[in-house]
Amino acid sequence: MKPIDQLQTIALTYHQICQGEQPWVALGNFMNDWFDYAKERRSELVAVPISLPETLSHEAFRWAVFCTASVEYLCDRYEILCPSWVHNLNYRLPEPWFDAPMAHKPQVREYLIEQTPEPFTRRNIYCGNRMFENKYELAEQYRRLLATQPSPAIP
Amino acid sequence: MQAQDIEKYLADLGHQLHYLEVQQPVRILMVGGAYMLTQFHNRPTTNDVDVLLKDVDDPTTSQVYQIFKTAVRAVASKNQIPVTWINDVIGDFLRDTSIVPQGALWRSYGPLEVYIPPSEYILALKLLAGRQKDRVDIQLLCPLLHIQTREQAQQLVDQYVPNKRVQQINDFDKTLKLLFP
Repeated sequence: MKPIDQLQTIALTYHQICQGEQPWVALGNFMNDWFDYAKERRSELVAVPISLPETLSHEAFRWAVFCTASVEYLCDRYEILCPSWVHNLNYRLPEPWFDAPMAHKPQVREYLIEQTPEPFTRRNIYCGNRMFENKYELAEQYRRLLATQPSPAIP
Repeated sequence: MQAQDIEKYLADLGHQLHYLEVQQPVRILMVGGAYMLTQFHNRPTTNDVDVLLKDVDDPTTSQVYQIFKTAVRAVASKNQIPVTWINDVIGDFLRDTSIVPQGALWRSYGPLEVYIPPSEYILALKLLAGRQKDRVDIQLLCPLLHIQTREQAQQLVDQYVPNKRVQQINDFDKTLKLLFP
């Protein structure tokens, strides 16, 4: 577990992925900081650019592009000034990446194309729109919905 | 956090609760990545330990909850880890929206009792969430629990999260289309 005072920045997150950490464990730690532990320090979480490893595998480049798209998407959604490094045109996949278990099926690809936010599709990533759903916002979202609508009848 | 870290920190938490002279058992239900890691070993690490306190209905008024949080902070301080190493933020949501199973006792550390729910409940929550990060767990649990079709997945989620509005908030129909095209 990371030390108590260490921010889980996107640069650290990508470094951990390159070091063999499971991408969604590293990204999950980043999400914990973004949505809760360090939500007052969001600019700091994305300020430092990711650093590509000397030997860049296909997989490592995919995640570099994913991290870049994520920063642009999150900054836009949470009104944080987007750091300039994410606009580096090199962070774009040469081939589309359809990230879903049944991605070989045309209807799944169609769905992913339709649902994925633009910072990802522009970089050739098609992953849907639920990647940053999180427990911190879910409960709040549920409370808000219940407050605006009549109480649901639980079957 | 690795499996042995989880057990170490939970043991520390039990000691702290004992030190704080807690008499009644403090019963927690472990869900999320920590459940998958300790029960199925399908990953080397997890972000945090997601739990629901079984005997706390309202954290704002519960004395047990305040003592629990004090003990959690002490463990964090002792081990130099974030206070959110154990996370109950999902607790209210689960209590309000799902049929929480009693679970089976997995570990006892002094007054701390750690329960685990049936894997069907975990799969229902993972299907409902439908995120990329849940995919590895869904892919493990679906065949294990013989969930092969959209209808079976719907039935499982209905069993634990029958409120259709909650399913709507989570775009569960879209997740079903994606996972069972």
